[in-house]
Amino acid sequence: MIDQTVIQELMGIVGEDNVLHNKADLQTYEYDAYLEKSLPDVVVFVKSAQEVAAVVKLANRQDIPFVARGRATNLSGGVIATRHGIIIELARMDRVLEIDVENQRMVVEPAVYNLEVSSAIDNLGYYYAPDPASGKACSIGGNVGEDAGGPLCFKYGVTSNHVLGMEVVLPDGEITWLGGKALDTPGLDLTGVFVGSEGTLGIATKVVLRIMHKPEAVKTMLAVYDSIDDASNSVSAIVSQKMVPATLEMMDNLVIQAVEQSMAAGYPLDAAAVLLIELDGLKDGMEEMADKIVEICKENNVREIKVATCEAERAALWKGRKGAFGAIARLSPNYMVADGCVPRTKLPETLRKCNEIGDKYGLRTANVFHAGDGNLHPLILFDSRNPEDKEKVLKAAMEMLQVCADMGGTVSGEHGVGIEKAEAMYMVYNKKDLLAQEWVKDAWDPKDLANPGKILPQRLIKREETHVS
Amino acid sequence: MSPKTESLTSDLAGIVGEVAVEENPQVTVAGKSPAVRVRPKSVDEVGKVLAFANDHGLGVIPTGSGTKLETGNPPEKFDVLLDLTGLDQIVEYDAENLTIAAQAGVRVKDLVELVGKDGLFFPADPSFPGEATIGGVVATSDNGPKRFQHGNLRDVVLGVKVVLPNGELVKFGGRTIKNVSGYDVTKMMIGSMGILGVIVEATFRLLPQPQREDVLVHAFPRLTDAAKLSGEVLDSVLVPSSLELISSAARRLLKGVTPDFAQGEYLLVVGLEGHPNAVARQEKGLTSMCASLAPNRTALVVGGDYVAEGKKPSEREVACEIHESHETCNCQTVTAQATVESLWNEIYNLERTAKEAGYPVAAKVAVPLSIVWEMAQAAEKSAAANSVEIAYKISAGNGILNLYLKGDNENILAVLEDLRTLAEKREGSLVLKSSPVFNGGFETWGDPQGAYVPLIKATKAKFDPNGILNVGRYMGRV
Repeated sequence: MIDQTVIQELMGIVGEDNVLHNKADLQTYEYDAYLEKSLPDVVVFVKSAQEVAAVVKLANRQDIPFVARGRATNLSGGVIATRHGIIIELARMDRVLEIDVENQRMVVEPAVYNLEVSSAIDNLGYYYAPDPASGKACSIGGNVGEDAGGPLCFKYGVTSNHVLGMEVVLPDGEITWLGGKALDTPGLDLTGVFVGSEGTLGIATKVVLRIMHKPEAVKTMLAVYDSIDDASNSVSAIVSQKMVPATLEMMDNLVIQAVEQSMAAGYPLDAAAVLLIELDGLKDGMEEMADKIVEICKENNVREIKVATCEAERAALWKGRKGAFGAIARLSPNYMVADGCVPRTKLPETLRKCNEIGDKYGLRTANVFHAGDGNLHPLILFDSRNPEDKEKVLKAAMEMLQVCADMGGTVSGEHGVGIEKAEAMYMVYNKKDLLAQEWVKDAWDPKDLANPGKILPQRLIKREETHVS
Repeated sequence: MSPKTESLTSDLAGIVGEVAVEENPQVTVAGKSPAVRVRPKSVDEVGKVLAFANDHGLGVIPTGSGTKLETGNPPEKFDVLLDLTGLDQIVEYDAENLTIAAQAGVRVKDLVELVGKDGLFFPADPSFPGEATIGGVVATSDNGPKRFQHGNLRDVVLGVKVVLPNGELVKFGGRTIKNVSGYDVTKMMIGSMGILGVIVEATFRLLPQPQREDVLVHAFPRLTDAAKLSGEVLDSVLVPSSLELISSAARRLLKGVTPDFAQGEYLLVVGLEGHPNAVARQEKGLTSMCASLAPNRTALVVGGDYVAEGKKPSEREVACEIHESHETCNCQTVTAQATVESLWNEIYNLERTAKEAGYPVAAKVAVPLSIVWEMAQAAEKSAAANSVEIAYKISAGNGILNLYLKGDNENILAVLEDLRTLAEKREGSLVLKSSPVFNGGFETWGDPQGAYVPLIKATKAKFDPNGILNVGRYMGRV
């Protein structure tokens, strides 16, 4: 528990009304979208970088851990205050500060919703590419923390490819800029290492985003298959024919069933997989490419393929994918989203193995995945009212990550490490690799106060020893 | 030979073998020469050499072909030149999954050729592709015009293996496009100029080769018109892969590719890639846009596949496609000796060509996109005022101005100071890329004061506590 005087001091910084410290209030802040809980000592609502800095300086002086929190959609426990302390609630820093079309940049505060960014520039003919499925609910600050992905990433890259600079409050409370509107800021790419650092290196208070001109044309197709292998082979064949679709999304039978129960997207209930393909770019040549894709799908035993001819049809084809996670609730009271990534051609084998793991534990596994970049999301269905289930789910998820690692992939594609996967880091890195990562954390946050206990498995070195012998 | 050099030679020969150690090599960095050049043949040997240097506090500068060795402040110590060209193996090439892992000493050109055989394409286009090694390209984050479409090194490198100063081999990242397992140290290694560790291997994302690649060249009598055109293109649905402006002085350095345009004009070089219909449509659109600002000055360099169709490049007349007949236009097609490849190669090698033509200093200005034109005008003005000759190219889609300067040192310094001040005022920077003449009289990276400078120092102290790698050469003399 932290001292009353600290609470008083926090009230002095942000105002009495902007500090929560009653247990009942704090309970709202003890969880995110992962399965664990931990109660913070105090929650402060901040409105500016200066307030964040003052709170962090206080935390630093008193050695109190702090966690930055945005919209709390995190799937790996990233904003759970595992060591209690202060939650710095950024929800009120939600302004779009600048739209700079001429320089193809936008500056926003951290709590701006992902979708809000594209909406704000839609009428100017621009958009922001990283498009996590939770775009309506998640904020840019969280996207920066997790290096969020989304369906468009196969062609356009993830958050870190679109964040060019930030104003950040460092773990000692200093405010600094990393990067900016221009490219190639001299010095180490600290922007690059900050993105995806899950709030463990400081708190972003302004973010400079790259915005892009909207493509002239989009062509969306939905292909239905009787086997996942045929769907996967289609993806490989499309890429080998020199085409780089913006999106290649796949869903398996269980997801199809859930989606159909929930919203009737028109997917056949007995299909093994549906593949959503979207081309974007200039309209010239697009019809020809679409025809070629239809041809490729046919060669790979597609059962049926629909090509959207207007925006309404496009929205209909996307509806099932956008609502897939939500629809899973039709099948089971709870589910856990696993997130791994493998080289694309290993997807069918990886999926088979993940399903076998599910079977072994008597758990159903539904699959939604970004087929272009090999990023899979096995959704493990369970019932949290059954305590044994939760344990089984965690074990199954870990085994699935091991499969991804064994296939030459990695244990987190876009959902972060948080507390969920800290130990899974050993599946892809050895102790020496992780020590070097710990040096990064040490250089930024020698007192280990910024969102401690995340990303790295239990601290490898004592604080006074900083190098491997 | 000093006794120190003698024992150093024999100690290092014990690690890498006698033939891999050269005493007193003919290499200087800001006037300093190393005692030895060491050329390890394996990652293991790199580890042992670094561990030895670390134990003895030797100053080490890693290098590939040395094309960018001049970038940086003068080294505080320089005992060993660590030549990585012996690490020349492709480690893992996975054409199906569009990735390749290669050792640091593999030359860009060789990698491009290798993947080209499978219809794939390396989405980075650094300077000096004939010599530059991938280790050097990653360590210096050097990339060219096409980064406008394909991204910078930080967007195409998926993972690196690094030998730390203590001799340990570690890996960061992996081989998948999406990877958020832990800190993205890969990004920090890219462009770290060898101050944190020696990059011995990198994994890159590959792309399918574009079905077609052409280059449209248009001459503009006035820079402001080129700027206007560039702004219009950037704010359109067109998707060129690059948008380069070559100053009239720089144009004289491009040998075989300049069409018969009037002297003294600026060349806008636009790369176009993709579906043949999309490329053709953009050619048409761009020619019209250009013609409305400065008529009759478009030329087209067409891609190899067109030649493969059995037509010579010169048979393709842009004019006929865009205008009703030849009589209403003077659009021309570049002569057959210019190919898309040769044009790009001349641009990639421009820094060297400029140096050979007597421009000893190269600098790079990076600013927000629209500001780059203001920087070019300021450069012309400052150069004229200081009796300095300049040649330059602008990457308009990236906000980058590469500048080559000729004149008295004092005068060049005055121009650089002017431009750095203006660039920083405009939220940008100026970095000195090569300057044999100043010997540290001008901070390579500028002198930033933000709270991130201590972070760079702290990071360096963690990774290289004994201070052996490229000491003193980086920002803040780290």
